Amino acid sequence: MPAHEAGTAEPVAVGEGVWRVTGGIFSSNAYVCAAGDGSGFIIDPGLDPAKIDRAAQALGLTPRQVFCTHGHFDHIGGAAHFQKAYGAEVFVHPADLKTMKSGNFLLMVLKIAQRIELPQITPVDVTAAPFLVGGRALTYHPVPGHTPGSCFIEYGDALFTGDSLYARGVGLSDLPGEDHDGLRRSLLALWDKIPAEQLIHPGHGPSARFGAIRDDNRALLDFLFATPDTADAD
Amino acid sequence: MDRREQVLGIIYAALESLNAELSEDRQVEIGPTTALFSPDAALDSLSLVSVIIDVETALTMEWDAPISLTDDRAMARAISPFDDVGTLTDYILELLAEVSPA
Repeated sequence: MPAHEAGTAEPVAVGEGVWRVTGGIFSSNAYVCAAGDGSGFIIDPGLDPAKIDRAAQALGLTPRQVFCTHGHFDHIGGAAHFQKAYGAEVFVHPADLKTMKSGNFLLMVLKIAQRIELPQITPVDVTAAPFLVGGRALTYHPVPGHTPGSCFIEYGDALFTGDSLYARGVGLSDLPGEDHDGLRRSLLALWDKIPAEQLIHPGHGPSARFGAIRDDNRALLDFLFATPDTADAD
Repeated sequence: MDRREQVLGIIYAALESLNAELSEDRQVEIGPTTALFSPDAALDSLSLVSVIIDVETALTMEWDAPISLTDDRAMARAISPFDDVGTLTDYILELLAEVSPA
């Protein structure tokens, strides 16, 4: 177990004021976060919002906002639940609105019976000042590639990376809107700027320090730095 | 060329584009009754997504208006627009009548 993950019972504490809840058919990570003023917020509520809600209640946190790293159904599918139950405002990059709206179509073609309810979205303006959540800045960093509107979300010492950066493997899905070269460019642009000690909380799989990912994620290194004749042809 | 033929042409072009990427033994027979999303459809999930996105893109360019085939309106229909080429054509014609009456 990574040193920063406390215990295995869900919700799993993965950082200061950050708990991970994994659920849904794709085992997507949602994060329940303490805002520091008694309220909470959710990152990427996927296809099991009841489980995430139970975790928030057990932690004594009332979700006031939902922040999504991207618009895929397994990361935004539970957002409407928190909007209806708590009046939470739901944020996503506007370039992913189409991705979000096609969620039920993708569920259908993937032969998954579950359907999602779409929330009312507040589009994120990445050129505006960061959000102030519980007295701390929350910043969206665009990383287009996995989807057109994919973003990293930075809050305190946590970086929520959605499907754009995993501790293990690479976030490639071959779903519409995915741009392999774009993802490569986005990650390379940030590669030397993310501190080694930065805690990365991905959309699937375990959290890890960026230094460990940079040194050990062989699939990602191959994807980013493969020579032209071995790189994918997309 | 009437509007139905125009739409069929766009769908056929998307299927031809798919066939160009498929091996000889996986070619999709193209016609008005070609099954798209049904138990006997020749297309797999990602192929269907690719075709629908291609059709959506071509329609939007041709009619210079945003036309969405994948939102929840399509999902709510009693007869799925994605059953076959015919049902997709009918659905598209319905959408086009709203953005650009013939």
